Amino acid sequence: MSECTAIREQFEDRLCGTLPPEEEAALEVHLDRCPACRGAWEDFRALSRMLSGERDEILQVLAAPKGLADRILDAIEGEAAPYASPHPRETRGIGPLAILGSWTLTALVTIVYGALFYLFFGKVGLFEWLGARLRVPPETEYLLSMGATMTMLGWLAFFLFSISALREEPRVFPLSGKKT
Amino acid sequence: VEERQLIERSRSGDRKAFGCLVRQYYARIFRSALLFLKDRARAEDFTQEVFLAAFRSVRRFEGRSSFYSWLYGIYLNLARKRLRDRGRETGRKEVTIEGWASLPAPRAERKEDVMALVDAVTSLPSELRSVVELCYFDRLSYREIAGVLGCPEGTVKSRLYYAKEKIREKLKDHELFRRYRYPSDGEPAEEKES
Repeated sequence: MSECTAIREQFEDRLCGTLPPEEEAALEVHLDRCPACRGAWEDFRALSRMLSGERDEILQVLAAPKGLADRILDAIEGEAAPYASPHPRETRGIGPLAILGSWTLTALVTIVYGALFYLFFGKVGLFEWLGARLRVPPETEYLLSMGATMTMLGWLAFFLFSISALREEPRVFPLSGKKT
Repeated sequence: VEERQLIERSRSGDRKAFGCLVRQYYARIFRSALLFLKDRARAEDFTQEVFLAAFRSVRRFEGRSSFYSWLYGIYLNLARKRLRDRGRETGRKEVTIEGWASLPAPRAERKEDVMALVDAVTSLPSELRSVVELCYFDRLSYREIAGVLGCPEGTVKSRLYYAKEKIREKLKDHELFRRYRYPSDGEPAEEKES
């Protein structure tokens, strides 16, 4: 970036009086020895005065037509309310997919858990191992093991999926797709 | 009623409260849309589109910025989408300043001057036009503009510089600019600068 460009990019700061004193002094020195930048500064000030001075008339030219606000409000009347769902926010977003996902995850975790437990302890699961310690019949031991494990992990997975479904935000600015 | 309360009520689906916000801000959004689209009918439709999008997503407004900043963000998003769509259209004739026949005139003798300045602003690239609009028409501070556009204050200031440079290139030979540049020859001597 040339010195002149760097100096000119400070014009807005100088105009609003936020240029630090040392930079202000350096800028003034540059303007004294650079007629092109001196001219650019005068142009810049003139443009700033012009934009402020012509503001009211520009706003008049760009004024919104009467009735536009009513037209917008009519259009909004025809829109579904942002809270159209009868369900409270806490339960929105948990659909069949989340439930199916939670049970798929449960099954996978149970299989992996059973396999690892069998690998290390020679038994299918924690409850089977406990059943053996408590001396319950083998068929009860198996049901106890698998049932309790599935239930425990199922609720855990469902809880995790519910949280993720609630945290999932739709698009920030949904578009109607209408042609205007 | 405070704006914060209106927003809270709007978030829970209160259309009347949202209507108050519409009445407060529609003129600003329309102004930006008109500078962007250069056509009053399309600007009206676009303004409506912005407020419909805002109504649909108002429950997600968390008050981390001002409501106008958020609304202007929606306007910018839709404007960018419109620009992309327009880019895909081929052979479309751009609407020029001459097409603004239905605009309400300011004082008749000033119309040409004002329209020349408006034309210069509309011809700016959108990121430069936005800073001019927000600074000079909406009179937001640099900090507020930075918040609206999501950029540092320094960027706002440098964009203002480049915007004015482009306006100067367009109007350097125009009588309006010469009156402000050489005030001893004409009327506006001590206008406020910023």
